[in-house]
Amino acid sequence: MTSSQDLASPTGSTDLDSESLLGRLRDRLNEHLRGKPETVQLVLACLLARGNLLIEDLPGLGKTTLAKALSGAIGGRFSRVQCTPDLLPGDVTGFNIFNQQSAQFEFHEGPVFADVVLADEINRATPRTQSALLEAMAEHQVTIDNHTYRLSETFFVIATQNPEELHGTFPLPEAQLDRFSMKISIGTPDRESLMQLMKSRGGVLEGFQEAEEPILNRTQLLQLQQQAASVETGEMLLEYVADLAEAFSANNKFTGHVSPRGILQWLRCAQAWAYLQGRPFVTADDLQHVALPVISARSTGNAVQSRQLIRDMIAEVSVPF
Amino acid sequence: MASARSMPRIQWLTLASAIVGVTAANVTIFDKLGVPLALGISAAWGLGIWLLFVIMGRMGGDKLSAKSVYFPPIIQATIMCVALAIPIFRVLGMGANDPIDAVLMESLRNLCATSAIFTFDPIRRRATLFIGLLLVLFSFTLESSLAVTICTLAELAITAFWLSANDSLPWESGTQQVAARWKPDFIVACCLLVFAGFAVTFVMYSDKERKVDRSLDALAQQRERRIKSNYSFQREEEETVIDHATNKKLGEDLASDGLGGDQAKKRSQREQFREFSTIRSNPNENQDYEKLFNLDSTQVRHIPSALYDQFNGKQWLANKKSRLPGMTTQIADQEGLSKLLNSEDLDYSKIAQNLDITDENFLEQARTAMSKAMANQGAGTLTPDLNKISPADLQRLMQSHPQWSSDASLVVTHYELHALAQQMKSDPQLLWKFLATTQGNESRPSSVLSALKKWRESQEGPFLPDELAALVQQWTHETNPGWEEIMGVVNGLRSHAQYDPAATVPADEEDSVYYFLVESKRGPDYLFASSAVVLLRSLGYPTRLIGGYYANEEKRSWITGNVSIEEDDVHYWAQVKLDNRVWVDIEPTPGFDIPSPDEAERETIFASAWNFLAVYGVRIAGVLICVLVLGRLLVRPIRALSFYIVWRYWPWQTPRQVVQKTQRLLQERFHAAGLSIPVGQSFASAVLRLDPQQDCLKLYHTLGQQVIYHDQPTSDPALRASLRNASREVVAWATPRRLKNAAGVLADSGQFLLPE
Repeated sequence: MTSSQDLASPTGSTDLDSESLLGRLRDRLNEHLRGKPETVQLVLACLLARGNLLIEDLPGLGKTTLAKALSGAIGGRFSRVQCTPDLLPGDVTGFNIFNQQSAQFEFHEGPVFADVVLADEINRATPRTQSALLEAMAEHQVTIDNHTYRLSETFFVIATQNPEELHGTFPLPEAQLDRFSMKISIGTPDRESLMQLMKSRGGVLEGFQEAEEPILNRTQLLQLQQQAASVETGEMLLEYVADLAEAFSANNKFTGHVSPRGILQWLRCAQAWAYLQGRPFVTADDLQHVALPVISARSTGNAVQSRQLIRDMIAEVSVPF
Repeated sequence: MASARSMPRIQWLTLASAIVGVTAANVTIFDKLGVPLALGISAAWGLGIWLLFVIMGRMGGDKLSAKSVYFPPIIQATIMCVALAIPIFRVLGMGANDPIDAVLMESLRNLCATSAIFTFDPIRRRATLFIGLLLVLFSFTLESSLAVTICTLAELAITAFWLSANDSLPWESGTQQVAARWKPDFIVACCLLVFAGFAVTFVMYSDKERKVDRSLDALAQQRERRIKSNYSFQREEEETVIDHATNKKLGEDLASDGLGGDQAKKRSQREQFREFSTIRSNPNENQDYEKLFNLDSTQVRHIPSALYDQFNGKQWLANKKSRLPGMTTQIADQEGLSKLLNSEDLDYSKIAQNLDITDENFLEQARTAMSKAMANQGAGTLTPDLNKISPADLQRLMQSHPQWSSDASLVVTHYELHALAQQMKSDPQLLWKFLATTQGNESRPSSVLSALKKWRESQEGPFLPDELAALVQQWTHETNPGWEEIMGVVNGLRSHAQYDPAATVPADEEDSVYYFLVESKRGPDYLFASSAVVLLRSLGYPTRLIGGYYANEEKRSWITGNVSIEEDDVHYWAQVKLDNRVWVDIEPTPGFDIPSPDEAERETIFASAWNFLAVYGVRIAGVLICVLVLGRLLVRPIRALSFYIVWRYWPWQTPRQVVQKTQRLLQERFHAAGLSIPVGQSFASAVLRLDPQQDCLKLYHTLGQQVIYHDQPTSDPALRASLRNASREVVAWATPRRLKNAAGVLADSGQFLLPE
């Protein structure tokens, strides 16, 4: 749905070929996660919106594959936390250890000191460990023993989790859910994609794929994010968003809480989505496209019901165009 | 009342409608019993309907919704058919001779009641509501009494209430609100019902001449019958006297061996006519006068109710309560003369052969012939069944039925006849001139009357005794000729003599008018009227004596607004012909209201509204209903059309306004296609998806997005023009049929949803 050419190009800076970069990025992700272009698009939007991503689905559907492919494509430092019930907060953030040689405490950085952090099966970790991620995700910094360490500029958390109905999981607290921009699910691939997948993995052993070249570097990613954030949000659109926010807070069937921070994240994601479409302004369609992943990240309770409820609520707020 | 609270509004409205309809029907059906009793019966019916409905509702379960119809439709239909047929079976079985419209009314009433009791689903309840409405309208056409009018207004209010409350409240419990919408077939059915009712009404009352009242039809038929059967009031009166004399014996005869068929028929025929005759039968001991009819107008006081030949001096039996004496000498004279001579007795050939014109006997005969001609051609008045005739209608009727009101004007008094006879004695040619005349009224040049008129016009001055001439001179000396002069005489009479119903003229007095005006100065109303006739005729105004009834205001019922006219309301007054065209009532008797337009104006804001309602109420009701229904149907199209025109041709619209209006138009198109688009669906997800390859849609989508979401003010006229063009193309593309087809394709593939 590329828009007309007579509009101004979304890419403000001249030295960045954003179209081709995004295209390559999209192709790379589509290669790893077959048959899910919509999901890939959402993931890209989340990345450009500088939001954190929560992928929720059954095991084996490609959550970790997607996360790894993304981190591989972005470049920069990648770290991974495999969450288990005995994972401690220090294992995530890092800790001070006493160096006997220098007779000083030395700080050992944890996995969060990276550009892309993959928190696998995050709801298997205890709430205490989960909350250790809170500060990092929200403020891009961690505080250990009264000392605050800045994290990377492009710090980006991809968390995966199994549906909460499975045994041995700790549901994420609402505060932490609010810090994710999107919650997406991947779903089972269709038959054709499955066939392609099986063919492409024919002669390669698991874990022995060749490492791929990163497509973006940190600077480029920052520039892309900057450009996405500068997509225009018009007056009428903001009023529409305000209407939606009122509708969400007025609806008493909706189990969850859409905070102003959530609304901002939503707007940011819509901007990123519009940017991905190559459009210099956000439309209601962009908002609606990212509505389900954004809002369902902020709703508790039955996933299917809440998705339907969100859809109904959006359908009742009149759209500008 | 617990169940009542959960009852939807339609139930209340239909119950109210049914009860009102039954009330109106009962008022009509039990007309004979009187309004209070009919209202009582109706209240009992209403209570019964309500109780049965509540009981049925309880039996049918807690929910009085569409889902729990208590009885299956076939049983409901059976019950209603039985209710509908009961009156007909009753008539067939018992041989009662109720009029057919009463039977139909009764059937409809039963249907209304049962339908209100036994139906619970919204569609049938609406049908009940309309049955009630129809019932009230039919009642209104049959009898427009105050009670029925109130019922009509109530029914109108209910209908209006229902029409206006229709959308805001769901009829059914639960979430299913589909039934709240109008269904075209139902609307058509309702309109057909209403129109059918009006068609029936107009077929029944199609003749414009008789639209005044249905009773006039009956009157006309009766009159024709009377002419055919040579029905005689005198004979009837004689028979009445005989009946009264042999009352007891007749009753015994009836009891023992019954009346013969012929006799019974005759008797019933007579009974039928008696209702309209002015005969006063002797009431039984200690019994009031019989009520003759109801008068519901406030404008008419004087009700002429007799043919002229009823005032021939023999019609009026003395009777102990009225204390009216016999006929005036003047009229009795005429009667006596006409008795002396009829056409067979007067042998003209004989007269021609041996004529002695100085013979007093012959002169007497000639004078009699003229009197008889006058009496025959004299002012015939109407005998209508006077219910619901306004003065205007009365005049129209008199003009439209000339045979009912003879144009002959009586300009000659007995004083003039006397003078004529004197002249004849000295002038045989004058006598020949009169003898050569024929019968017929004054419009025929050869008739006695026109001859008389000519003679009267050639004479100088009034022929009156000196005392009467002085009185007339005194009353009229400063007035202009015409109405002023007439009213001078009338007012003079009103102040000159005293009204005394008991005063009589001595039997040996020859000139009752002279005696009354000069000697006694007391007398009953007919003496006043006779005097007015004589004096006004002597002045040259065509005047006639009128007998009839006077509507006494004290006898007005506060419930029905009708004045009941009884036998002792008999009254005499006079009519004078103005402008050679219109007979105008004048009232010379003191104590009786002078008929005047002022009086009619005075009491009338209510009365004229009432008359207006009585005449036009049904039509207004029908028009109101049609307007309500049509308005209901037309409001949306008209609004849509005006909206479209503004959108299409109004040049000063900002691009955003254009886009917003186009969106509304598209929504209406979707509505017309039977699709409901959530307001939250954007153009892309609602319209563009239907045909993503359509160029106009794509262009409009791009332009619209730019206009709405791009805050930079775009005053670019090119953009505006292309936007308008694109929006027109989009609206032209979005025909309901196309939308429906495209949406059907999408819905089949399960895509017509918000984006995932």
